[in-house]
Parts: sequence; C-alpha cells; structure tokens
Amino acid sequence: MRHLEINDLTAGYGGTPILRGVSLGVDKGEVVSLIGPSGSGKSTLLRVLIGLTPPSAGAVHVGGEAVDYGKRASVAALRRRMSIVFQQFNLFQNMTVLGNITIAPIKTRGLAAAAAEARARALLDNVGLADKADQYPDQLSGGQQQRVAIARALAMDPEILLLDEVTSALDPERVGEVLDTIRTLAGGGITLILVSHEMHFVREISTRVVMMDAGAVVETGPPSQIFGEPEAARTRAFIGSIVGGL
Amino acid sequence: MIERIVAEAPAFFSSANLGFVLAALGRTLFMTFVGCGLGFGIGLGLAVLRRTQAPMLAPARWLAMLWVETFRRIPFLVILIMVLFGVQPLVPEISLIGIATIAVTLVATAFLSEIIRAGLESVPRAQVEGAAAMNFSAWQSFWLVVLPQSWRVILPPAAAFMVMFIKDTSLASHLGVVELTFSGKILVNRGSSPVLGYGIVLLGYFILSWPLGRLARMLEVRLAPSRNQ
Amino acid sequence: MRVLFILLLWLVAMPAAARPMAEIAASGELRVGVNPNFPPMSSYGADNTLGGFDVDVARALAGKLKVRLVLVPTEAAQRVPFLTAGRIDMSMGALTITPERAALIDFTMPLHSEAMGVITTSRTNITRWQELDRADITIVNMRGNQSVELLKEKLPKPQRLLVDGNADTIRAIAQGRADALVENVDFFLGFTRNYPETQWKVLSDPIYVAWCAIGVGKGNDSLRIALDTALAGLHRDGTILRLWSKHYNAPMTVPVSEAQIEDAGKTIVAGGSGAYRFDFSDVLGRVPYLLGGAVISLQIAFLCFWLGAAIGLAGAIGKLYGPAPLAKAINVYVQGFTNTPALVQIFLLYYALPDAGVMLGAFTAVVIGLTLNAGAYLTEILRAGVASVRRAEIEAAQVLGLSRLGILRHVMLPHILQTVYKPLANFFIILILGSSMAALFGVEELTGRAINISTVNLRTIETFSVVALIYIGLTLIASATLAVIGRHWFRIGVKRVAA
Repeated sequence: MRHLEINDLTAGYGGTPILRGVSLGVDKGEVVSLIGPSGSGKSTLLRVLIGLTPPSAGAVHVGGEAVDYGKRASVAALRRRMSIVFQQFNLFQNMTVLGNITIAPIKTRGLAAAAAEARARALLDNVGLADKADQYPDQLSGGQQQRVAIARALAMDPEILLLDEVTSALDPERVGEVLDTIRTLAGGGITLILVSHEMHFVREISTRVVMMDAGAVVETGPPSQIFGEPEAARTRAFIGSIVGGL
Repeated sequence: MIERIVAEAPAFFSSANLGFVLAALGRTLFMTFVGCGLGFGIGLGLAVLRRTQAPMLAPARWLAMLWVETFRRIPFLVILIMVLFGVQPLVPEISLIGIATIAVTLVATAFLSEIIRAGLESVPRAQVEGAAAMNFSAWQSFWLVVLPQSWRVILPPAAAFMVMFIKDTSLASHLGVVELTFSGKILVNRGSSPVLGYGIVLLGYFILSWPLGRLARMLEVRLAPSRNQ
Repeated sequence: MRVLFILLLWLVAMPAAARPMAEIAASGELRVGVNPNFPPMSSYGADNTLGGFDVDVARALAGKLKVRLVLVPTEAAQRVPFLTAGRIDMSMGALTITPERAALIDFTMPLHSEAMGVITTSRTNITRWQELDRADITIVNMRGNQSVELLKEKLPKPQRLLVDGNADTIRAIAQGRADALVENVDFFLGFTRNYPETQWKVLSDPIYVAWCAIGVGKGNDSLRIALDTALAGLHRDGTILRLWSKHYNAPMTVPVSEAQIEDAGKTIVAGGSGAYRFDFSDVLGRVPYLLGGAVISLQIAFLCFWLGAAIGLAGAIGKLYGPAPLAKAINVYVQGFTNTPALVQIFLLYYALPDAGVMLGAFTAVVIGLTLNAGAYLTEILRAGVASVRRAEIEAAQVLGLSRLGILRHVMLPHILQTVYKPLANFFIILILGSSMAALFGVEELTGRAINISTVNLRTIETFSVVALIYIGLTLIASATLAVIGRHWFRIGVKRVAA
C-alpha cells in the first residue's frame, strides 16, 4: 500500500465537474508536482484531499486508512496527518506570527503552550524568521507571510504537506525565498504534493510530475520524461507553450 | 415670552426639578444601554444562527430572518404599544420601563444582528478555510478566528446605532415611562414654560448623545485602518 | 431568546390575570391605576408624588380593605387595557360606565357623576352649548374619552382636534388651536390656572350627566363586592363628597344617590370567564380607514424627504464650499438636530412657538420638525456623496476637455447619485417609520388612526397587529420600488454583485 492512494476521485461545484476520475499513488517522502493549464483541477484536487471541497465519488487512503469525507472524525484524523499551505497564506490576521503557529497545536492537539512555543520558534528559525515572532501578518512581506504559513503547517507535524501555488501571489523577487524554504523540506521524509507554475523549480525538486488537464491525469512520470520526452500530445503541447520560460 | 421664561427660571431650576430630570435621564440611559446590550447578545446569537448550514436548523434560520425583517419595518412607537399590550398580560408585575426595555431589545436585536452579520461576513472565507484545514472545530474557528477579526467592522456602527437609539427612547414617554422626555412633559403640564421644560430635555439628550457620538466616531477612526492586509 | 419565548406565548394565548380579593389580601397590596396627569383627580405634585381626589379615595378604600395602596400611573387610554391585562386591580381616573367597557370589565357602584359642560374663552361669544354646532368652531377632545363619540352625535358640525392628555386640551384652547372643550368641566378647570392671561368662560348648562365608577377585572366579583361595600360606607359617611369638595373647591354637581348605592348592593351578577379572546372583526372592518392613514403617513414621509433633501443639499454644499462661518453654522445645525430626538423638537415647535405668537397646526409642526431633522441627517449623507467624487476623475474629465458644466453633469452628479442613492433610500424608509410620531400630536395618519380605533374598540393588540402588517407592507413596497428605480436609472446594484 502506498502512502497516499487516490482512486477515481471526482468532484464538482453545482453540477459542473472539476475532477473527472483522478487516480494517483504517492509514496512516503516523494515530492510530486501537479502541472497543467489553469482550470485543469490541480488546486481542486488539493482542496478535496484536505477536505475543503467534498468529493462526489472515489476513494482516498492515507497510510492504508480510508478517508470518509462525510464524517467529521475521519476528516479530523486525516488533517492530523496532512496539512496545506494556501496561495493567499490565509494567516490569521488577529494573531501574531507566533500565535498563528502555536494556536492549532495547542487547541486541536492539546500541546502545552510552552512546548508549542519552543517548537514554533525552532520552525521560525528554520524558515529564517526567528525575529518576526511577535509581529502581525500585515507587518510582513508576502514572502515572509508565506514562510510563516509553511512553518504553521509544519507545526502540525504532517506526514503529507500540500502546497497550493504558494508563490503565485508573491512579488517576483520574493519567490526565491519561499522556494528555498520548500527545498529544505524535500528529502526530509515528509511527502510533498505541490501545485506550481515555477517549471524550473518543479523540474529540479520533483521525484515525479503529474500532468493534469480538464480534471483528469494526462500523464505521470519523472521530470526528465515529462519535460524531456513527454508521451502524451497534450503534455507536449503544454510543455511547448511554456518552454520559452524554461 | 422671554419675560415669562426669565420670571420662571429661578423656580424652574430648583434642585427638586433638576433631580427629577436627572433621574429621568438615568431611565433613558437604562433603557438604551440594557436594551441595546441585550439586543447585541441576542443579535450575535441570531447572526451566528443565520451563518449555520445544518438543514435541521433551517426553520430557526428562517425565524431569525423573519425577526430581523419584521422589527426593522415597524415604527418603534407601534412596537412599544404592542409590547405594552402583549407582554403585560403575561407578566403583570413588569414595570413600564421594563416593557420599554423589551421593546428596545426587540428592535436593537434586529438592527444589531444585521450589523454583526455584516461584520462576520467581512472576514474572508480563506480565514475560515485556513482554520478548517488546521482542524479547528466550527466553534473554535468562529471564536478564535472570525469573531476577533470582525470586531473592528462591528463596533463602530453598533456604537453609532446605540447612540441613535438614545433619542428613539423618547417615544417611551407615550407609555408613561418617566424618562427624559416625559419628565419635560410633566414639568410643562405643571405650568412651566414649554421652552424651559422641553429645552432642558433637549439639552439632556444632547449631553448624552454628542459625547457618545464622538466616542463612536473615534472608535471608527481608530479601528478602521488597523491590520488590513 | 426569552423575549422570543414570551412573544410566542403571547401569540398562543392571553391568560386572564385578575386577582380575586383573597389573593389581594394575601399579597397585602392593592394596585390602583390612576391618571398621572389629571389634576385634581390625580397628578404629580411639587414633591413628584401622586396626589388628588382619586388618590385619596383609593387610600381610603385600601384602608377599609386593610391592604397597602400601590399607585400605578395609568394614562386615560390605558385604563381598561391595564385592567384586562391584570396590571392593576382597579382602575380609576373618571372611568365612565359604558356598555363597551362593561363588555370587557366590571364596574363598582358609581363613585361620582360626570356632568358634561363647556369650557371656552371670551374669543367665542356663545352662551349655550347648542351654539357650538358651527363649522368654524374647533372642539378639542381627548382620545379614549367617552365624550368623543357622544359629541359626534350632539355636535356634528365643528371640527375636531384630538389630543392625548387633559392638560393638552386646555393648552390647545389657550394657544388658540381650539375654541372649546366639551367635557366634565370640573376635571379640566384646574389646568386653566396655567394660562392666567386667557379669559376663560364656563357654560353652566350640563349637556349630559354620566356616572363614573371604579373598574375591576371581568368576573372579579370578590373584589367588586368588597369595593362596593367599602364605597357604600364612604358614600354614606360623606367621605366621598368631602374629598371632592376638598380637591375641587366646589361640591359635586350631581351627587350619587342613595338608590344607586342600594342597587349596587343587590346586583351580584355572575361574571363571564375572564379569558381574553382575540377578535379581529372590528379592526378588519376598518382596514380601508387605516389604509387612508397610510396614505397620510406616506405624504408626511414624501414631504419631509424632499424638503429635507433640499436643506441637505444646500447644507452639504455650504459645508464643503462655503466660507468658514457658514460651514460652522451648518455644523451647529447638524449637531443640534442629530443629537436630540425629533419628538422633543416637535414638542418645542408645537407647544413653545405659540407663546412667541407663531401657531402651527399639528400636521405642519410635525412636517417642519421632521423636515428640519431630516435636513440635518441628509446634509451629512449628501456631504459624504459630494466628498466622494475623486479628484482623479475630475482631472481625467478635464483632460478629456469636458466643460465645467459637463463635468458636473456627466462626472460628478452620476457619481454622487450612485454613492448616496442607497443611504437616501434607507433614509426614506426611516422617515416612513418616523412619521408615526405624528400620531402623538393628533395627526390622523396610520398610527394615529390605530390609536383612534383601539381607544374605542379596546382591541389594541388586534388593531396594532394589523397596523404593523400595513407598515411592513408599506416599507417592503417602498424598498422594492426604490430598488427598481435605483437599478433602472442609477445602475445601483447592477455592476457589483452584493457582497
């Protein structure tokens, strides 16, 4: 059994299908990147996985356990193993950086405040923001906020971390610092599933790349295959359209 | 007219009269603060209720909406009279000021719940999703994330509403609640010049309303630019 | 939630709450409704406690029943409703015995007579009450008094002014709003002392003699019999007549006879059940009359809105572009009117201005008061609208070569209207609701007509439920109409999806 097992997953908003039977298996410690044109369902797949958008059919297993997205307890158990970083950071504006990182471990996992704070400070140190602990999100740049958001997700000790276009909302000069942070995570045992338009980065960091289009997986393979000699015509066309950027 | 006022003034501004007006002013404040305070609490409940999505609560949501829409569309005077005749058969011992306070509560609930709802809705959905992804329960998400962020949107108009209602409570004089307006009426009926009797009442309202209005606006200025993304 | 619960309870049933004599004795308190503004019957004295004929009689009765007296201020129109509600045990305030009231409450033996006469001034040159039947005469009357209906029969021609309190009737005559009051002269003469400049005249021939008694809850025989026994004693030992003379400085015109006292002792009528039953038949029959009132409500709102908008526009422009002293004066106006209740502003216009020789009718006073009030609020709304025009847009228009008038018409005005349309529409709704306070000055708009109806049919809850529905309908129609107009002409709510 693989670490994350997705079988024939479908989802949609009000009758419009967004995911049309996605199947994918991910091993522990893998770095899997989802690419494809906008509207292909990449972000929706992440939202379904974390339980923000309900699936209409299909099955998801994490570590061999089936997830029942209709059951609150099942979703809560899932979220103890899986976390997400959003495109817009979604940091709580009413809390300091430290508060943002410690609140969930304290309130949802029953961690002692002192332990949560020590862990938060260590994580902040890792993302290079140790000195920002007592600032509010709106006092930070976008890149800094996104690094805090990553630290916040890591504070939950997830086995799987979903990264949803985490650099799309940033100024170009801020993208590097966030990518650097992600690089330090890869290969550290945590499973990463990311949606990104930074093709250089995807090619460099991924163990596997998944090409999606119109709510379905078109092709899966190592970066060398997807960017070098893609099998599907749709992948070729997509890579061709952005190859100028590579 | 002027001579009459000048002649009456010394007798009018007796300590007994001033004490009488002051006590009445206290009743005006009581109705406003207690009524709006209760209204805020119940309004918060209604606003939260209307955000829920459970199908089981649909009739309750519908009732909440009915309350809000109804009490914002009936004159306060009519509500006062209806509460007077509706409540006292059930609670005969209730005082007139109690009845007026219930009327204030009913109306304040309707208006304040709309203000609170707008405040809660001003918090971006992404904040709620962030909380959900971090395994917050609905209650934790509301209490720790949504409510703290909506105060700055809720408080200024809520304070302004309360200041406005100080003046609307003058209609309670029709029930015979000896509040500020009624105290003026009594003084005038006892033979005081209407200029003095109602003049002192106007002054009383201004002294209550103006500083509180300023305070509400200061609150707005202080809260408005804070911690925006 | 408790309030909601109470409301629901009230919708389900209205229990009777009349306390029998045993319960009153057990509680040790007799709750008596007396008019707070009806000297010399009862009124707040200089020490701000209630005193008068009714108060003294009530005290004597409580003494005989060996219970403590608790006075409950009860305005004329609430004498019966307070009783049916169980808020008070007995109701005073010159409660005339009538069949309509007898259907809802029970009466004791008569307490005093009510000989209807005429109070007027030297302005009218009449000597007999029949001479009042002229179209150029205005008769003032008090809502909820039996004489209102009676007068329509006996004196159909004069115009009528309805006010809410005893004091207001005499003031209306003193200020020249009305010419005469046809009422129990004794009750009202006390107020004439407030207006020593007026030359008061009282016509002595009584039009009609009626009897006033003490009201008790329907079917509350134990209390009624106890009161009758006590009253018989007070009548026979002369206490009632003595108290009357003490407070009125004159004997009762027609004293209660021994026959009446004996009659009451004999009749022990089995009362009906005291439970309140809703009866909408009367008010439903009067819906057309109420809708006529709604039209007047709308008229008030319209008048005040447009006049107020004119003031507001001038105020906004003056505040933004006028010289400093003008802006300051406008600010004083705005602060003064927005920080005090419209009701008291109208009180001043209506009651104080006549002392300065300016007399306004009720409708006029209300419209002027609400207009001045609206003008202050609209100044603020419109100022925000004018101030919202961004410099950049004007500059863009200048660059495009638009004339000053063109900029005003094509750039500024549409922008201002877009910004202020919604607040203006909301304010119009507020004015519709606010116009209800005109009722307190005797204007017969929707609320005024509701008060008129309910003081006669005594079905207040039923009447006001219907009126509340009319208000809801009225504001819903107004909101919908304004929304359509806004979308059509000002593109309000077209571009943006509601947040």
